[in-house]
Amino acid sequence: MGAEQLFPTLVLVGLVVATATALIVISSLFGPARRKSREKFDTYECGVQLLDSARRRFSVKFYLTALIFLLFDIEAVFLIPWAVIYRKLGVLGLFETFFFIAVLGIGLLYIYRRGALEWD
Amino acid sequence: MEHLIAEMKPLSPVLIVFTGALAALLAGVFSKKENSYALPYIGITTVAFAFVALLNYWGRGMIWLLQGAIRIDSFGLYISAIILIACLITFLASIGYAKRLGFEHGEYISLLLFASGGMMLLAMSADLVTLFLSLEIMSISIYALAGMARHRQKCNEAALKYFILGAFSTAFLLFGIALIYGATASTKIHAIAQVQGLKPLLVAGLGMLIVGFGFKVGAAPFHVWVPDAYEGAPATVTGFMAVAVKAAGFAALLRVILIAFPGTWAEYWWPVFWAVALLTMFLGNIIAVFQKNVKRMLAYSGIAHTGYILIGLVSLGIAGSEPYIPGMKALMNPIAGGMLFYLLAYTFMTLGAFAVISLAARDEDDLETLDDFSGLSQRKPVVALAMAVFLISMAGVPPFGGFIAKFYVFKGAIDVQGMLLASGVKEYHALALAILGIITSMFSVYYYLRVVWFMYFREPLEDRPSVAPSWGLHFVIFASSVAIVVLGILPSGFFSVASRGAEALVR
Amino acid sequence: MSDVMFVALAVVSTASALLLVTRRNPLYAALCMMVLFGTTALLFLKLSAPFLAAMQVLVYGGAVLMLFLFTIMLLNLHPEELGSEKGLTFKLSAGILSAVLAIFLIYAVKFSRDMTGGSFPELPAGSAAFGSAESVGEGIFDAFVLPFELVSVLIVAAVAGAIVLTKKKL
Repeated sequence: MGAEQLFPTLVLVGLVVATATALIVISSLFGPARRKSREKFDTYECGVQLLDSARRRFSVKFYLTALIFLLFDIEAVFLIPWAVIYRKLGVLGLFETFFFIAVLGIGLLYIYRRGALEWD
Repeated sequence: MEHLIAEMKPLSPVLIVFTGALAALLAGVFSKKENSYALPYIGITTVAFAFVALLNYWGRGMIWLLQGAIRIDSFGLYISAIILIACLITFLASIGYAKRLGFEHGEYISLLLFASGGMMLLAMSADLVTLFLSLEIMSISIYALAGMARHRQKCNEAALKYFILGAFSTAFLLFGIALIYGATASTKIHAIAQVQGLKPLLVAGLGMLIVGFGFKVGAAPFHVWVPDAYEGAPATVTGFMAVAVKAAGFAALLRVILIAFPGTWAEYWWPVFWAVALLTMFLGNIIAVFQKNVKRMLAYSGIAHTGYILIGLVSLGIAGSEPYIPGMKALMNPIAGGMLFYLLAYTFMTLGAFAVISLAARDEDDLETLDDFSGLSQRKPVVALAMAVFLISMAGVPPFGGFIAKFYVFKGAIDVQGMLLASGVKEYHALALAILGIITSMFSVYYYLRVVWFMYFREPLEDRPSVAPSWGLHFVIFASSVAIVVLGILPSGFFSVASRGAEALVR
Repeated sequence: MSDVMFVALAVVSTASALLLVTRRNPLYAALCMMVLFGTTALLFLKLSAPFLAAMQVLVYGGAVLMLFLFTIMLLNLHPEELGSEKGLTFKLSAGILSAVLAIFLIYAVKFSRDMTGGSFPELPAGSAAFGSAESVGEGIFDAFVLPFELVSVLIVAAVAGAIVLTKKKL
């Protein structure tokens, strides 16, 4: 993949950056004048009052969920190459992928039975 | 597809272990809590089947599998056998112990099996990619195992320290593999040896690999994790970590170093290992003298044992870098055999010692401090006798296996030195290492015998309530001490098996 | 054009990596890490490895970074909890060691090139499609089928390890 093929991607990146910049510039040019006040710096300007700081210690359960997500994300990564060439690989590739997914399926069954997907 | 299945057949010992691991995982979550005492037996059965499958391939020569990813040879099978023995002993010792510490669940059994399977593959890998993945399977399982007793703060500390330092060292290993691939365009261990000439990139990769493996086997200066991890982890896990991780780490190290960097390449690596071995022996033995905690003392002694095994690698390197000396090549197989014999003897004495430690001293803590050991001979005479056998064997006093192991290693270094002098090479590195090894070995007698002295010549401090050990623990302590005595009295048969194991590396 | 792009990416990624290890606030470090992952992905793209680049964004930029953020939120260290700053000797020795390693590696790469007459060994698949998902798939499902299957075993072992260490009720 050479630089020429990356050109459309570069155009896309340029367009995204340009659009975002343009939106900010336009709204600051034509929008109502800003007044700096305390409310402006609230998390929810016209919503409920904050109860507490958001910087609190999070439960380790989030971490476990994130970790399980990460592991199955990696599974997905390995399935993409298979999906691209599965016709060429034929039955052998199907067999290999089945084995891969079967092992992970056992893992998923274990996670489910262990109750790691529940918020206890 | 048929040929793939056929190719998987020689891999059956590993596949059995992984299947057992998955089965234990499912059995743990599908069975009732009151039936969890049966879980270790799943592990024991798995190991037994795997061992039978393993013996089936002993003596069949080399089998290459899966386009050179795996080479099943006598060396891989020998190390795999050590790992399975260590795993079996750990399961037996865990009966009762795991319940007392609150980790009698499927995950414990499963992670031990996953780790063993990874280690066996590590010993059989002929490709750096396979090697890296099996190393990761082993390491990740062991990180979790080290933190198994979750309510103990020390245990959490051990797991975290081991994990962070382990991940750091794995990065070095991976970087080394990448550099080697960059220099040779191959990850096959055998293909790397074909590259001609000096390649700084390859040397850089070799250096990174030495750092990575040095960490796994606990060689100085990469040993700092060992005392904390060994002290904090539950005693059964510590025993497994000490023995199996070291055996698997040495297997990978020996295979990569001796096959990918053979012959005159040794000139690059043996001076490094010479310094590492010296530092490891001195640091391990000297710091062990000052330990009040027996688990920590055994950790430093484990570091020292790594140093002794490395003497064998240095001797191999010196011998390999002087190939023109007649008779030098013939020395190499016995030296490598001596290293493998050392690993076997180390397995029994270390696992036995940690089995004794896993006897409870107070309510649930391990038998840890020297005070815990005082007067053990009065409370548990048989156990104290077995512990004395393990410790005296570790110190290298005849007639036990540890003495014979040290003898083979030192003899190898002295033989190489003799051969060098006979052909007029006036360099004394091998002799120096052997002599310094013997001197540091004498330090070790002090701290091993101190525990024996506490057991036999001190009155018990108070009447400590002790939990009755399970049959598994009794069996392990008995079998290990018998094995150590047999290895010490009739070593020749075992040594010839070890030499056959070494044939796959050096003929 | 190509060299300018490489230099720009190299400078940004090296700078963000340096910032990553020197920030005291873990959240800023995570932000630097995001930049690092992004530029690394672009470097992979430039090295004609688009599959690797996509994975770098998906797995590292997405999942791994999120895991880091959860860990930071789990610890949620206030500035006063971060502990005292490391001494100058520590920083200096760390800097010198890293510099020595870097110089050694640069030297190794440079010197290897000189020895082999300017060419590194040809990679097995030197074709234009080298780093595409197709060629990665051909590798995974043929020569590297065992490592591929081992990944599934590794994931299950990691899941079991993570659950056993962090789950409250077992």
